[in-house]
Amino acid sequence: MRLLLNALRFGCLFSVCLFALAAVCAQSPDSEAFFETRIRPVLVNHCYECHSSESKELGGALRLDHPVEMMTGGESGLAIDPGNPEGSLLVSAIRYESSEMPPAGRLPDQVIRDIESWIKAGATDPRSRDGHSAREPSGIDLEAGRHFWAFRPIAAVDPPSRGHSSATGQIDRFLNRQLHQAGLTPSPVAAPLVRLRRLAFDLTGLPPSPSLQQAWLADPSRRHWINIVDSMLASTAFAEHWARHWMDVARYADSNGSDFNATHHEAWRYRQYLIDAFAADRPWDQMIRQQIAGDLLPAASDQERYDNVVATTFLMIGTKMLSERDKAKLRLDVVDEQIDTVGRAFLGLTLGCARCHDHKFDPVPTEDYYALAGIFNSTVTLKGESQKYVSTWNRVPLPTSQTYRDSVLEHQQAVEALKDKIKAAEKKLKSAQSSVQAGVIVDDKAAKKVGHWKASTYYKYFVGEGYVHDDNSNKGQASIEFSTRLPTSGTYEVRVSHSPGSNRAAEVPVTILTANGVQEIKLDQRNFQDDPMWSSLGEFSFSADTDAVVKISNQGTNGYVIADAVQFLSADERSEKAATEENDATDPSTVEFAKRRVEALKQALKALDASAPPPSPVAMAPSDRPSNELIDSRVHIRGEVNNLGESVARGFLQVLSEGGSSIPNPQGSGRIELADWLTDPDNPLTSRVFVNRVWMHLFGEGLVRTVDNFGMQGERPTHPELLDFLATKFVRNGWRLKPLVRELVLSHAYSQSSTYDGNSIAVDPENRLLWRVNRRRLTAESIRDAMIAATGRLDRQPRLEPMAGRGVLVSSNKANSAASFDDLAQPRRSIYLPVVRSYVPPMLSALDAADPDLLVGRRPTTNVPAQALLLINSPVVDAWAGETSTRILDAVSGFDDRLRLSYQVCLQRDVGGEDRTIAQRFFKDQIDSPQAWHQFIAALFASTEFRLLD
Amino acid sequence: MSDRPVQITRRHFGATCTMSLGSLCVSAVMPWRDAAASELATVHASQVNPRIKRVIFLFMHGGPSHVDTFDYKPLLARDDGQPLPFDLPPNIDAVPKLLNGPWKFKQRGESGLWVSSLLPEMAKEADSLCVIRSMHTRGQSHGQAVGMINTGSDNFVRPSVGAWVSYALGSGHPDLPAHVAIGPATAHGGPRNYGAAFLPAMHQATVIGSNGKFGDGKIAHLNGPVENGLVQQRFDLVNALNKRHLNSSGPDREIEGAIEAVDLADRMRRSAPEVFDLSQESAQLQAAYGIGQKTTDSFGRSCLLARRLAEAGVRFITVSSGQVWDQHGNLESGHNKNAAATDLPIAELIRDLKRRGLWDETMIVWGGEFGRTPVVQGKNGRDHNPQGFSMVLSGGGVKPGFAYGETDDYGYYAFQDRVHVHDLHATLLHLLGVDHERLTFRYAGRDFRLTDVHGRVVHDILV
Repeated sequence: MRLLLNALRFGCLFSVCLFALAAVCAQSPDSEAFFETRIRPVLVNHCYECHSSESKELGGALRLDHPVEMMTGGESGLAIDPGNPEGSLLVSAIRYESSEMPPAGRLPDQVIRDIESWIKAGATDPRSRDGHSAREPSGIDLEAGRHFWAFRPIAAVDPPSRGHSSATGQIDRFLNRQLHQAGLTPSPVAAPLVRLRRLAFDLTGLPPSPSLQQAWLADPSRRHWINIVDSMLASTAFAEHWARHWMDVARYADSNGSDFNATHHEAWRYRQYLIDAFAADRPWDQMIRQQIAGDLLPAASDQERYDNVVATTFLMIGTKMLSERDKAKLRLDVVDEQIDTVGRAFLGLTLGCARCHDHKFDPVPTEDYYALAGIFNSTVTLKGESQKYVSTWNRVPLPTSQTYRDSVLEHQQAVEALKDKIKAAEKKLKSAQSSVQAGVIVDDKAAKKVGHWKASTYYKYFVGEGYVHDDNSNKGQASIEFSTRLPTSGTYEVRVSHSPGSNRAAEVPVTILTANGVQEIKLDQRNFQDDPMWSSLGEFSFSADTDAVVKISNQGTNGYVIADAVQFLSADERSEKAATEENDATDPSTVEFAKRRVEALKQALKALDASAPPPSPVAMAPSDRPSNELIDSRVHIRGEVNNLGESVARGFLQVLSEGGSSIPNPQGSGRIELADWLTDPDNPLTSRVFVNRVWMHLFGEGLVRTVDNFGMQGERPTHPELLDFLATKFVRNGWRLKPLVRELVLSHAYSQSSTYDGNSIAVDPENRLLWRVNRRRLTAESIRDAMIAATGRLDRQPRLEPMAGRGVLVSSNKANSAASFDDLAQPRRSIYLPVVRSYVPPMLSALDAADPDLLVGRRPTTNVPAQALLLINSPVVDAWAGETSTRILDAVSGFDDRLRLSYQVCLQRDVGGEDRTIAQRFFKDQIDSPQAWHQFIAALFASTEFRLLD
Repeated sequence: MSDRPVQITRRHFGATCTMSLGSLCVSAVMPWRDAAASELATVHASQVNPRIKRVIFLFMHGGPSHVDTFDYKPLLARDDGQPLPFDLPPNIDAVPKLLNGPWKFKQRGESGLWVSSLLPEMAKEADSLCVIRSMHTRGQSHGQAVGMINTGSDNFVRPSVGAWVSYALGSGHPDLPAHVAIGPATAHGGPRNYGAAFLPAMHQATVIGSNGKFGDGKIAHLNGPVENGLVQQRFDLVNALNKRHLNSSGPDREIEGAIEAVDLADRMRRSAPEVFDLSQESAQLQAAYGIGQKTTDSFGRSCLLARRLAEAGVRFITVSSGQVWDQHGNLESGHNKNAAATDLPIAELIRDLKRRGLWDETMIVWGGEFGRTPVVQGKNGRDHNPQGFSMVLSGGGVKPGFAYGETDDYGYYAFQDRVHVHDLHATLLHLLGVDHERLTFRYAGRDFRLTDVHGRVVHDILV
C-alpha cells in the first residue's frame, strides 16, 4: 500500500521520450562535468515535465530542477541522500522499486547506474550557483498575515461621543454611531416582563419566578433593575448556566463515545470546577492557565492544587479512537484533537488545517502546527490499556483533606487488624483440621477385613468415604486390621475414629502391635472423648522397621462395633493438637467452630470494605512526559504517521509571536509556556475571542459571527472598535466575566425590544447593527429546566459523580448491549445530567444541545419535525405538563386566575386579550376539566413562545 | 458553529438554477405540494446523470468472511492448515496458519459468479450481483473500520454517508426524512455512524429499532402518550398559540420555521404510519421475506420496510445486521446463524425491487466494515481483515453478474484493481449523480468532503 501511494505521489511525471545516451565518458562522478553530461540531461528530459517549476502540476510536490528542493524532496520524503544511493528515494523510484519513475518506461540500466554513482559520490550539483532562489520555508507571508485584523494588536479605543444619540452607556455609543451612519435608530426598551424573562434566562438559564415578576412590575426602576442583575450574577444558577456555555466549547462529556464508550468517571470534577470558578469570578486568564497547564503550576493550598489539576481535564475529554491498534497513529490523532480544540477554543483559529500542509487561508505554516504538536506530544494524555489494544488515559492523584487521610488510615488499620484475626482463625482452623487429618492415617478402606463388615456413612464424622460396622452380629468372627509403616521410630499417640453412639459396644478389644510387643486395650465406643471423631488409645512406641498394626475385633462385644480409621500422631503433631484443644476443648466440633469463625470474620471484612472511605480521588488529567521523553515533533508530511520531515522546535504561532515563536529552553512539555503565551495581555486573540463569546450568548450573534473562527475564512467583526474596547476593558479589569456581563446587560442595546420594523429590516435584514434585539432560542437545558420549574419541583442540588457505579464502559462490554440512563425524567437541573456520548437524550439533541463529539461555540438552531413531535408527544414532557396543570388547579380557582398563573409559570408574562380568546375557544365549557388544563399546559410547553426569548 | 454554507433551496432553484441541477426534476418529486414548503427536500448538490435514486446499505456489522462467501480461493482449500507463505499485518491475533472454511463454492447463474453455499438465496440472484473482491479499508479494530465504512473517517467525527446523501439530494418524499437507519448499533460509534456531525441536524438518520433488531418498527414520538384525538387537539392549539406569537412579533424566520416544523410533524405523524405499516403487504410477500419465521423475522421486516421506504422516496436506508458477524471463534456455527437470519430477506429484497421496477433505480450495498483473515484465530475462527475483503452491489448502473478486482492467492490482501472504501463512497455518489469532489460543506474554516482528499470512481464496474 505504501508503495502504491508513493507511486501515485511521485506522479505520472517523467517525460515520455527517451534519448540516446552519450558514449561512456571518463569523468569522475563527483565532478561537475559528470553532472552536466550524465545527470542533468536525464533530469531535464525525463523528469522536468512533472517535477520542475515549469510543471503544470507539480508531481508529489517534488522539484528536481532546483538543488535545494531536490535534496529536501517532496511529499514522500527525502529524494536524495548524498552518499547513500540505497537510501535515496529517487534511486528506488527509477529502479521501479518504491515506485515506477518515469512512468513512461524504465530508464536504461546505464543511466540508473550513473545516477547511483553520482549520489554515491555526494550528488554534486553545480546548479546551486545557477541563480535559483531557495524556496521560502513556506509559501506563507507572515508579515502580510500580521496585517489581518485579528492578528493586529488590540487597539486602544475611546467610545465615540454621544453625538446624535441619547445613549449614555459606552457600548451604546459605539453601536449608535454605526446605526446612525446607516440611517437607523435603536428600538425602544422592551416591555418590563419581556426584559425580565430575557435577563433571567440569559444570566441564570432559569425563568423568573412569579414573585419576582410581580416585584419587578411593582417597581420597574433602574435601581431595581441593577439590583436584580447583581443578585442574578451572584447566584449559583449564573455559574451553572455559564459553565454550561464553556462546556460546549470544551466538548464536555462523561464518556468517550466513539468506538469504545469508556466511562469518564472523573469528568464531573471539571464540570464542578467550572461552576465553582465562574461562581467565584475567577479571572479567565487564570482559568486558561489552569486548563492548559494546571498540573504543572505551583499551588499555595490543597484546594488550589485540586483546582489546577482538575482544570486540565479540559485537554483530556475529547472523543478518542481508543481501540486503534496503531498506537503511534492514535497518539498523533489525540495531539491533533488537542491542538484543534485549543486553537478554536482560545484563539478562534482552525489550526487542525495545518496538520497536513500549510494552512490554506490563515498565516499558519505547517511548522507551527508541529511546534504545538511537540508540546502535546511531550504530554501524557493516554496511558495504559483497559483491555488488549484499547488505550485508557492518564490519571493524576488529587490532594485530600486531613480528615480523609485520617479516615483512610483508620480504615486501613481496621482492615489490617481484621486480617490478622482472620489469619489466626484460619491457622486455628487448619490446625483443627490437621488434628483431624494429621499424622499417619489408615482408613478402613485400606484395612484388612476379616468376616462381615457393613459400610455406612450415616454418622457425619468419618475419614475417607465412610466407615464400617459389624452389624452387631457374628460376634467373634469379624476383625479389621489397620497396618502401616511409620516414617520414623518413636512414640506415637494412637487414635481411632469410630463414630461414638449409645448403641455401640462398650468393650471393644483392640490389639496394638508396638515396638515393645503386643498391647491389648478395651475401647468403649459409646462415648467420644475429646473430639467428635477421634478416641485416643494412648501412646506407644513404634519402629520404622516393622509395620505398626492396630487390630479391632468384635470378639465378645455387646453392641455395634465401628471401625473407621486409625491415626498415629508423632510428638510434634501432638503438641499442635494440644494448642488447639486448649482453646476450644469445650466445643463439640472444633473444625466446625473454626470454620464458622473464619466465615464470620471474612463477612466482617467485607462489610468493612463496603464502608471504606472512597478511593483516593484522582483527576482525568495529563502529566508531562519524563524529561528524557520531552521532544520536539517532526513534521508529518501529509499528516501521516510514518512520513517524517524536519523537526520543529516546540513553540507557538509565528504570526502572533513577533518576538520569537520557539520556546527557548522548555522546562517541561512547554504547556506552561503555551499557557503564558495564550494569556499574554498582548496576545490579540485570546481576549477578543472570549469577549466575543460572551457577547454572542447575550445578543444571539457575536460581533464576529463565526465565534470559533477569527481567521480569513471567518466573518469580520461588525463592530471592530467595540470588540477591541471590550477586550481591552476585560483585560484591564482582570479578565473577569461578571463585570463584563453586567456591563453588557445594562446597555440599552440589550434592553431593546425585538419588535419587527419594516424600514430597519430593509436596511439591515440580518440585524448586524443591532437596531433591535435578536429573538433567540432557549438552550435545550433551559427548555427542560423551565418545564420542570413549572411543575414546582426543580431540584437545585448539585449532583456529583453522575457516573458512579458505571464500569469501564458505560454499557456492558458488548457491542450489542445498550446502556440505559433514566436521569432525564429526574427533576434535577440539566447541567447535572450525565453527558454520555452516543446516549445524548433525544429531548436535548432534538432541541440542539451541543453535540459532545464536537467543539460547539455557537449552537445551531434547527427547526425540524422531530422537535415538534418530541415537545408534543414525549411522555416525559407530557408528565411535566400534567404535574404543572395539577399544581395550577390546586393553587388557584377560577378560570381567569388559573389562566394568569399558567402564563406566569410557563411564559413569565401576563395574559393578553388574544391569549384569553384562544384559551376560551379551546376550553369552551371544559374550564374545570383537569384533562383540558393538562392539554393546555402541554401546548404552552410546545409553543414557540415557550422556547424563544422575545 | 458552522460557517454558513450557501444553500440552494428549491425556492432558489426554481428561480435561478434549473439547468445546473441537471436531471433532478423537482416538480416530479413533489407534484402535490408547493416544493418550497419542505425543508426536508432541500437540495445542496447538482446532479449529473444520476443512475440511481437511492441506496440501501445492508450493513453486515462485525465483518463477514469474504473467503467464505464471494471470494473463491482454490489455493486456500488446497493449503488448508499450511503456514501462510507471507507476513501477517501488524496488530493481529490470528496465527499464520491457513484455514479453509466448511462451505463449498460454486459458479452460479449464467454469469458463473462464484458464491459459496453459505448464502444459497443470494446465490440464486448471482446474475444481479456485482462483487468487488478487492476492497480494502483503514482500521484493524471495529471502531475505526465501522467509522470508515459509515462516515469515511476512521478517526474523526464526520457526517455519515447517509447524511451526505440527505444533504445533497434532500428527501424524495415531502413528509418523510431522506435518511433512515434500521437497527443501528449502539456501540462502535453508535449514533455517529448515522449522524450528521457538523451538517445540519436534519440529515441525521431517523432511527428504527436498534442493534440489528427491528423493534416496534416505528419512529420515536410519532405517537403520543395520549389518544389520537387529543394529539390532534394539541397540534391545533400549538398552532393557534404560535400564530398569535407570529402576529405579535411580525415576520420572523424562527417562528415561521417552527410553525412549518409543527406542520410537517403533523403531516409526518399522519402519513408515516402508512409507509411503516408492513401489514399492507400480502401475507405471501411477507412470508417470502421470511417474516413469521423465527430466524428471519426481524431482518425480514427490516428489509421489507427498507423497500417500502425506498418506494416512498427515502434516499439512504441502512439496515444493520447487528454486530453478529465477528467470528473470532466458531466460524461455522456463527456464520451459518447469521446467514440464516439475513440471506433470504436480502435475496427477496432484490427480487421484490425487481418485480416493482425499482431495482434499476436503487443500489443495494452488502458488506461489513472489513473481511476476515484466511488464517485461523484460536481453534476455528478468523480475525479482522481490513487488508482485503468483498462488498456486493446490486442495482442500477453497475455491471450485473460481475466480479471486480482480486485479492492474493489466499484472500488476504487486496491485490488487483484495489478499491478503497473512499472509492466505494465516491462511486455511490457518482451513481446518485453527485461528484464526490464537489459535494462539500464548510465547517471550521475548511471545505469537508465525504471522501476527504481521497476517492476515485470505480468506472470499471459501471455499466
